[in-house]
Amino acid sequence: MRELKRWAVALEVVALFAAWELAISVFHLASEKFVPPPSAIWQSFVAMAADGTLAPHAWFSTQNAVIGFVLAVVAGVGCGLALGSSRLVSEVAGPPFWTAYAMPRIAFQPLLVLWLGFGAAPKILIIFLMAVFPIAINTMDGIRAVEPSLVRAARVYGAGRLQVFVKVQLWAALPLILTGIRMGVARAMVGIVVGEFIGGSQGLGYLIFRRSADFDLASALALTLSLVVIANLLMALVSLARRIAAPWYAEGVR
Amino acid sequence: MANEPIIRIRDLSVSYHVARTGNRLTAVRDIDLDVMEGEFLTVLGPSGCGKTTVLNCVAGLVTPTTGTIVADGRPVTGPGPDRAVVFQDYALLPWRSVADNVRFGLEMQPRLKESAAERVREAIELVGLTGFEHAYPRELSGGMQQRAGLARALVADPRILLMDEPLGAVDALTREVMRNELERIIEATGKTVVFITHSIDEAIQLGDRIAVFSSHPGRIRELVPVEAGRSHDELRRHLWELLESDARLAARGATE
Amino acid sequence: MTPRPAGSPEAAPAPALRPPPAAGPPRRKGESRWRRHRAPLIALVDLVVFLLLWHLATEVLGLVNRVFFPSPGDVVQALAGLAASGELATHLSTSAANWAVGYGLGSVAGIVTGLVTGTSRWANRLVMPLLWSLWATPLIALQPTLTAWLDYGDGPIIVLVFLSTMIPVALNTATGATQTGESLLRAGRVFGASRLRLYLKIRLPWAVPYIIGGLRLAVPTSMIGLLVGEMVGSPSGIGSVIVNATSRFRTGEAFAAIAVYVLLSVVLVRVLDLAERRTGAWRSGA
Repeated sequence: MRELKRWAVALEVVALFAAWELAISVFHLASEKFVPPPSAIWQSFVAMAADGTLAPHAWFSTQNAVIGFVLAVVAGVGCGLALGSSRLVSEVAGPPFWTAYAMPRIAFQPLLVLWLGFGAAPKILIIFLMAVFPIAINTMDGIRAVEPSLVRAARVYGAGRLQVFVKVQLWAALPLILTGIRMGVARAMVGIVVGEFIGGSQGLGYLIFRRSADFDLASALALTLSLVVIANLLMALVSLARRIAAPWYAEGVR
Repeated sequence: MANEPIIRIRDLSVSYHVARTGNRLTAVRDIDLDVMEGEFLTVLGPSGCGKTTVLNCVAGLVTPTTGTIVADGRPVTGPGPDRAVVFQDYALLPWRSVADNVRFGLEMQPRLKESAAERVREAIELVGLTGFEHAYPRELSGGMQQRAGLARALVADPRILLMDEPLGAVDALTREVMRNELERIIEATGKTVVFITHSIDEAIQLGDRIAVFSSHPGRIRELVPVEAGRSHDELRRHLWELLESDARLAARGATE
Repeated sequence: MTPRPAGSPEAAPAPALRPPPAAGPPRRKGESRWRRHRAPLIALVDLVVFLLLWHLATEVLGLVNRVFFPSPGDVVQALAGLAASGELATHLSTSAANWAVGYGLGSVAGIVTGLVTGTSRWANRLVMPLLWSLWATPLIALQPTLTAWLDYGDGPIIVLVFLSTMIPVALNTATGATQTGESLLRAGRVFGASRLRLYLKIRLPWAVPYIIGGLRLAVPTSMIGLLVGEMVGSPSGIGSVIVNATSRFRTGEAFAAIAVYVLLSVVLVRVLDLAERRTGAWRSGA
């Protein structure tokens, strides 16, 4: 029973794909061209990987994602710390921050392309813009949610403002910072796709677009599913990092 | 020198600006209190009577509106190594092991750097946590967490120990055990203690003297010495008389 | 502290799409007048300064080419132009209709999925991981495939809005339904409530604030779905205005269209915020 529980989700996913395969390949509920079965999707994935189509596009997307995301982590954590720990910063810089947050950032993508051209720059920027807010907001919440009694205890034992920040607030905020980074990963994935859909000529998102337009749906779905897998792997990785970096943080963790 | 109190509170008043109503709320008014070296003073009073505020003033966490506090010969202007606090909610850093939490008590004092390891070990041994040095707070019971809190307070060898309902959050049975433990530890170290409690029995068992507070605004109603001649029951009755009206008021929800 | 705009999904703690008890930092009630109005005042000053700087940079100093970056005046003019020609009304009604259909269907589907998922342990174990995984993935990547299936136009947009509404609503509803206090359910059984009664009288009311939290959370996500759908594969709708205007270097119009979007989502979030505060009053104690 316990084993069954552990594998339930995996079995479920396998069953879903099996049903899909049966419905198309055996019962022919829809045309294979129109709704490709998993086997066809896998074949196109292998074909794209083998003939060298996949690698350069994947490399382009990865490069942009890494640059945009690293920048988002640095800026997001920095902004979050400043907004969360200083009332002054929060009152002066808060309104523009929240306004920028309220903007539908992807709506600017066509303009970003107009301003920055068709290269990597607008893609990196949109990835950055998508990922930076959840990171900043969670960092800010983390700093603000520090138990006041911990801060009091630190002061009693002689900690100054800086020491309270370094020894208490930063540590207490760490789990939420990592939560923010996890959410940032999900947002960054959206950024990658949108950036390459609009004004793109390279990358996985662009390739999905191209193949769909050519009605090669097996390839398009293969790439879409790869993105799903990558997103889940990355999130799991950040969760793992949180478990390693903040082992004391046990409650409410997924 | 021997007759000089180690804590001397004069005309202490604290009032807050309450943003919600725009009024000033007086938490405590006109407190005069002396605590002698080596004395165990328990502070008894209904919730919301300002006992914690007084304690925080002595700790240097709250600045008095008026009045002065002198601790260990120096006027209190902020927290200092001569005073340590044990908190009701333990206030242990959840990301540090027991040993590291205890070490926190002397980390900010460079003069203790060399003896740190030895002091931490001794403090942990004193409170009976040997073997749990590497446990995280959340892995410990409430009583054990408070032992760690106590070790952290003792590790830098302060002269004054301020305890804010340290047993308020542990279960009744643990509380009994911890009371006796506390008595033993304090006796062993000879510290001056200010100990806030809700429990009349605790106040009598631990205290050399009991400061009974009344609320609205918080002030000292009576200082009751715990003498050997007086029976426990008699003392209990007397304290209850002092507290009754406030306690009944509080039970009807008239806090703050 | 600055008032946080309502509906900030990123602020949700841990995995959670858990609706925050109240939107943003606790707002103290009845502060003195200056204190209460300070934050909005600072925000207003910020806005004025921002608009002035923008105006100064574009029209007075001419730091940027206005073909690429319009001035505030250009945007207002473009907006007026779009309104006068009737284009705004046409595109807006297309967008609104697509959004409403997708959001409405998505909400219903999400609530039903969430309630079913939240009541049975096995459904919970099987469905929740899939929902979380879908929440984590860029669903908009399906857009081109959807276009291939459903043709250009409203179809793929509605599906995208539907999906990006359904998932957060389902997750939140399921969370609410599973977190119904065990002791409440036990109390219900003690007083002789049947399974159905338990559901209607305890589980459902408990889940209502979570459902509304999910609906609020779904506003920005569904807007993203709408925008991507309209920008990538549609001849009409506000999103298409942004793309078309930009490609013809009419950036004023693009900005105007974005402004309409901002206005729409802010209004929608405010409405749901209000609903959440109404229904969730017992929970946050506010």
